[in-house]
Amino acid sequence: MNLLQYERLVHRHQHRVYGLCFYLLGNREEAEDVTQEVLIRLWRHRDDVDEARLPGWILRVTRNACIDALRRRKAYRGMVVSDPDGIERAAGPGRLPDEQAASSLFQEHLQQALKKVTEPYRSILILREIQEMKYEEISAVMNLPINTVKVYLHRGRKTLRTLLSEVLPREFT
Amino acid sequence: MNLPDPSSDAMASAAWMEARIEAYLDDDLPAEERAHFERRLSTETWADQLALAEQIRAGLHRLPAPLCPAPVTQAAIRTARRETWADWRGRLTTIWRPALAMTVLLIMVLSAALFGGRATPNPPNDMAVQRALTEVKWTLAYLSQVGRETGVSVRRDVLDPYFTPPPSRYPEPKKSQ
Repeated sequence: MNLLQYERLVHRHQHRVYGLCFYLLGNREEAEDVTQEVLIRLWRHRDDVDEARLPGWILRVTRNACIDALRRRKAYRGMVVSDPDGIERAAGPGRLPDEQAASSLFQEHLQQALKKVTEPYRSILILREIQEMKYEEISAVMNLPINTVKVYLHRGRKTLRTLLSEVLPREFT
Repeated sequence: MNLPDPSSDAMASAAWMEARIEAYLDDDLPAEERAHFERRLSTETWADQLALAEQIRAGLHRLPAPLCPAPVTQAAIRTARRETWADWRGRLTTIWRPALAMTVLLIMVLSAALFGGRATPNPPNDMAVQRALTEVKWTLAYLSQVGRETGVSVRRDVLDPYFTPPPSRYPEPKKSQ
């Protein structure tokens, strides 16, 4: 892989890597640091990575780097960090303006609940529901069989439902 | 088929429903289970749970996928460029530079072998030799004049062993007028 090919790959995968970091870490600055670290790691392992398997590889590396970052700050279980407005400030591609502006109480609760979901359910929820990836792609990222991914996704959704049932007033449901 | 036993208790039945809400929304339930599930949805509790599950999915889809800030990718690409340059510089130092020195040395040796001759001493300068010969002649003439005036001369047989004729390849000095 030469420098031009690398730049092309960076531009192709940057938003997905950053998005995963952002939701796993819940912190913009840390997400930027880890994204940069992952992109540099891609350059340093350019000869080891088959381009066909690159999407799975890069998100697997991203997830591992995020988990390392969470371990480093000793807040893996909590994952409740400062930057509550981060998601609102972050621009989203392909979203309508009124959708971007929508910040309902339900969305607030949903984001908080997502932060409380443990691994690996949280990663799978992010990859499937926010990044809209296929089961096969998630399976490659998580290094899990597809059926296991489906089971974990169900568990993650159920956890979210349980968490939201506890906090939401009745009129939301 | 895995339908709950009608004789089973409410808790087991609730667990059966709970386990199938997500599968129902994914449309993954077999027809018979789906029909059974839909019959149970008539109760308010399960209708609320299903509505919440749908709302969560919609809410997750509405969460923005944040864009990676440009400085992050620029910094990564800058690092890659810097490392590329350092890599080339390292190769130049470890391989190319000695190779270049060897090539230059080889060219010098070949040039010397092809175009260089054996070094020979320069022939004596003609002017200096002539001046020396002239001085020798005048010295000899002076000695001859002294011998004639005093009547003393050296016998030939005494002189011959010490006499070395001058080299013939140098021209005789011109006689002065």
